[in-house]
Amino acid sequence: MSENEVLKTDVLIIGAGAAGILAAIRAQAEGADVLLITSGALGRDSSITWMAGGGLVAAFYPPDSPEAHAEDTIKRGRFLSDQELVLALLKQTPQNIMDLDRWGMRFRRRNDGRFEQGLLHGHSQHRGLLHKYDGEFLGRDYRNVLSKQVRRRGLKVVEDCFITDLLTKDERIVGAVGIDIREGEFKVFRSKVTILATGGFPSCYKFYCSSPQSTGAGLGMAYRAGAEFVDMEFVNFYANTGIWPPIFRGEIWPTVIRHFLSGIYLNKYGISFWENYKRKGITGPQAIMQEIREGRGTAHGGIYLSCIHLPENLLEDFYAAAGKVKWLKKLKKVGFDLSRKAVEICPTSLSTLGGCKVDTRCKTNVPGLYAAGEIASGTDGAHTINGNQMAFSLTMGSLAGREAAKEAKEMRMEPSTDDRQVMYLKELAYAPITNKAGVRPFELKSRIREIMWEYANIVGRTEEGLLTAIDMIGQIRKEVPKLSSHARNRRFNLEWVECLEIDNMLTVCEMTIRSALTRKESRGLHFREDFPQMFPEWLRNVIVRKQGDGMSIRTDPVTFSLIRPE
Amino acid sequence: METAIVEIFRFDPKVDKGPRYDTYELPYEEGRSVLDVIKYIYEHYDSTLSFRYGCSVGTCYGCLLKVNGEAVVGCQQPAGKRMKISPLPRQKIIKDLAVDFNSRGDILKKEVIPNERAG
Repeated sequence: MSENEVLKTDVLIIGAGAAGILAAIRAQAEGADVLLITSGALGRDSSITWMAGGGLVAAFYPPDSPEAHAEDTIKRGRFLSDQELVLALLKQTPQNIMDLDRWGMRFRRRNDGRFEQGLLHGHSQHRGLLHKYDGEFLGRDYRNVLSKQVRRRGLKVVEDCFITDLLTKDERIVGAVGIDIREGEFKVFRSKVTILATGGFPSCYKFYCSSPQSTGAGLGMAYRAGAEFVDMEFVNFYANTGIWPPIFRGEIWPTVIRHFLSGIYLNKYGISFWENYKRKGITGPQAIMQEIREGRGTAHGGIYLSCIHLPENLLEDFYAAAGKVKWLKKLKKVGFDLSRKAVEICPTSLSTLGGCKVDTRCKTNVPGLYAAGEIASGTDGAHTINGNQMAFSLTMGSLAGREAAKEAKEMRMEPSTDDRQVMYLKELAYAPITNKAGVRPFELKSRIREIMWEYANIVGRTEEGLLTAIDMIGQIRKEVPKLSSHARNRRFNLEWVECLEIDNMLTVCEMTIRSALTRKESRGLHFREDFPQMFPEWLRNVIVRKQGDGMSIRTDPVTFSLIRPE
Repeated sequence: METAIVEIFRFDPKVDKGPRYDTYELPYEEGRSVLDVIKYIYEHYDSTLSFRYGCSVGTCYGCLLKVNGEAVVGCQQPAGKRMKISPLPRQKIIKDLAVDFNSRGDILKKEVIPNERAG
């Protein structure tokens, strides 16, 4: 094989969403040489930051305080959060949001110049920032503002590069390797410090409202490098996501029908089932999922959300008041009439709370490796409140960037890479297009997604089911070496990239399943049918890591540095 | 079953002498987006097809392309029964429908899609 081109940098940042870009900006400001890698085109890649709605929170003005914000967060997380980390991050959040504001985010302000803040569910204070214009999402502003900052600051960006693995030398991370999707060439990056900001793994589920590429690639490589993972059993679902017709798949506007147009949930028999569940204290997403699992869902796997009981002129008045809202325009374009038809919806995976265990500097347990954003964990615990995840992503990115730059500055020696490892990883990366015809990635992906949907969902987790799931994941793992891309071209070969995602998907799914199996109780977003109660002895975090060829699991007690459960 | 006939622009500047359009015939299903159709073709007929996509819910604008001469966001545009799909004009073509958004300076300054309110 030909000699590989090696790109050198102080701080290598993998992933260019909110966390990655903030990290790059801060590391550069500290004087470090930075390289930012994205698997797509900057600002048009599969980062979920661009998909953000209105959720962003920070404690700006008294009587609110970072301490009060931390308390809300910890209580919502059912006391599993790393309290020290939560407080450290929330203290820095306002400053980062002020910077975003300076860079051009259009936050709504009051007459006295302060930010206008709304009261979001789960928060004790008004701390939800709002977009200047009604109905606008913050995601669009992040996309414009952050991409512009990257360009304005002359940050070096490598686009269309799918990182496959981290490089290790003497137990330290010394860079990464991957495929340059445009040319199909193998790329080697050598760095003093590396930051993973690749996001989570919601798209390991059959239905998701995150981005299709959120398959947990970063988590997979961190796992192979020896990183520890915490709270992997907690996956956040969004109740009202469109699944049918396909053009509405993954879109979250049906929630408007539910909450502003008194939309009702109907099963396939046309029966409104919500009240029965509500009386038993079951939450919306769980109720819908239960209804589907018991065979009363639609042919497409969801339930109907209908507002056809509303008079036509009421709907017309609603349209008029809403103005030129994008989703209403789309309904019109598709010819979907809400006064006659119901949207098929289903709770879908929105974000994953688990990820790399990090300390208060966003450092993982692996020397030279930091993690920031959805890939990092310890912040949310067992549940998350509206807007916290965006706040944590921004702040973690910012913190990781600064700390990584400092560490890089202190390093005298230039890191060197292990040629044998590079050669081995190159062979692995090229296997899908050199293997003889074998199993295709689409098939394995849909099988993995079905398994997670069936056994590791927000309802129906049982010991028996989770053990079955581990077995099925193991079966699929045997097929990974046979993965083969029918497309043999090197340039912009998407099937090849999809092949490279599979192994990571299996790893994160197995971590989630094993963590869920370990936690023999129900807490926050983790519901065990066979252990429906929450137990005080489970104020512990489940921690997973690689050991030899297997997965080792331990549980650590939570430290209550800030508040204790009553 | 109704069928849809879709012509897609194919060009690998490193290999091909010039661009061509490949025609695909697939089952037509109401309620699919242009991106759904492109993905269907990619998964079922020809995975050498190169295209860009991200969020798939109309926020990242990664799947900007031209359908029957009109610039659209692929995941937000209902698919028709007859479509001619081409890459975004005036951009450097990497392969097929995938373009280099940076090839003509800062693309964000001249967003093809007019500013519209998200919802």
